[in-house]
Amino acid sequence: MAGFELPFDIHGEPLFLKTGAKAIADAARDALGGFAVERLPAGAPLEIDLQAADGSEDLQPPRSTAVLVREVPQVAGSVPLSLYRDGCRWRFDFGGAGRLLLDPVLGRVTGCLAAPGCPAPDWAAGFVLLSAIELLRTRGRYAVHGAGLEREGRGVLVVGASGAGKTTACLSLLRAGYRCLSDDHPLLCTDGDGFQLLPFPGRIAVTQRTVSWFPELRAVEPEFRSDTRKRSFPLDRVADYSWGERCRPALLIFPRIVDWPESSVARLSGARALEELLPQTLLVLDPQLAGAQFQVMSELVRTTPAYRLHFGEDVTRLPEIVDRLLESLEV
Amino acid sequence: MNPKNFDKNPAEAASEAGGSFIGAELRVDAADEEDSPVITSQTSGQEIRRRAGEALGPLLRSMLGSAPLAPQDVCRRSSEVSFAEVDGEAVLLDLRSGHYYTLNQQGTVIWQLLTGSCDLGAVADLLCERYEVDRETAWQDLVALVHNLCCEKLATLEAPDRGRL
Repeated sequence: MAGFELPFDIHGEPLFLKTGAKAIADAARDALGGFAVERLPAGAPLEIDLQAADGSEDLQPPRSTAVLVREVPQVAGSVPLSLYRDGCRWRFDFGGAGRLLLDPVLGRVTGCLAAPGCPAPDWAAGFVLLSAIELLRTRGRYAVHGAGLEREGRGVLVVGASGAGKTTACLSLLRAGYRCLSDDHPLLCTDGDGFQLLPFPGRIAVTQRTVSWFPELRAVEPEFRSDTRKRSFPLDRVADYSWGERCRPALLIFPRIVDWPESSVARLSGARALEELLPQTLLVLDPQLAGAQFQVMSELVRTTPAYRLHFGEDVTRLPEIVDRLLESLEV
Repeated sequence: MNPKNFDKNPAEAASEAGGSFIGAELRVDAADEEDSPVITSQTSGQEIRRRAGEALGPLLRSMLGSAPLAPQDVCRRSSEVSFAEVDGEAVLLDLRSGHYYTLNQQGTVIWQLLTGSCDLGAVADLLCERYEVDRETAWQDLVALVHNLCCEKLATLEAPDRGRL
């Protein structure tokens, strides 16, 4: 069987994806293309082996030794997720759509998808992304469900669940000169001097309502791709939008869309910020890894000011608000 | 326990908390409960047991709340709970379930004292000293918090003459 072997360098972490399915290889380039390299960097690689399901055997229920830990109804589009622990391994079952088996000790994910090319181009990419994010967690690189932006080496992390206004906030800041780290899942890690916010380049996914707020997007609308739930476009197609570089997080923002004409912000205590942050970053699988990540996130909210953004209808005024917050921190 | 009641001093907080010095409930993330799928014929027996346990939690809690605790009893934090203190409040993460909880400032002080090295009577004495609250109030609220912690399996209780409760 002809296969694809794709090497990636994710901020120094070697990751290797193997598949026999072209649709999965395309999905990997879609999800991780910003990290594609010719050769793997030095070090023990993280591995993803993802195949198209070949017959019903591949999607059989887990072994009787597996313990059901959690069930989540809406993940990766609209399929249910059942999460099992099987020894030191973790099994993600997406109904009949596919499964992933994560071995955090070996740094490996194996899995299969029932129909990798359906129903939308980002479908299989979601499986690749989940695999990569869980593997990166084992190396102390934590994806945060949020938009990350950077300007002059200072990072702004806009954290929230789907529909909280992350992408709208991201685009509003981009057009004001901020640079994008990710509109959905930048990485966070620690170094000797504190935290680093790392870019995770990818397509920007928008709703029609978001497009209506930013006229510059209409020019690239013919290039929009229809994904599972939204439409997406490559960021560099829009003039003045650009990718940023790794930076220190300076500000945490937790948006909540409100039906008010004007946006406003209110300072959040560290504990409230942590309560908001944890559901957007921490999936407790291995207790040791989860404990380490919990302490990292706790330190982040101790050292980084956090604000609740009541995100009103004046979405393009956000840069003014964020600029003012950043200036006040300098003072 | 709603920490918002305790952003003020203990006396102000007590009036808002219905006369309690320490609130009686842990603040718990509710994301999983909100997302719980409907039980169907496909739902596994294990999941049904888990959901039944969740539903019965408040009932068990009220039953335990009436069990007497003695000052010589010792409460110990679970080693399977990671915690971080942020702005004087403790956020607890249960590494088995992924649930997290927030304690207000008084709850945080108690949590830090539950190392197993002193009994509940000594913890109540320390609270009286620190917060100038009468012993009866401190004891009742301490007992309520300890019961909640034990019901959530965040801590265990050891009674010298009754073993592990």
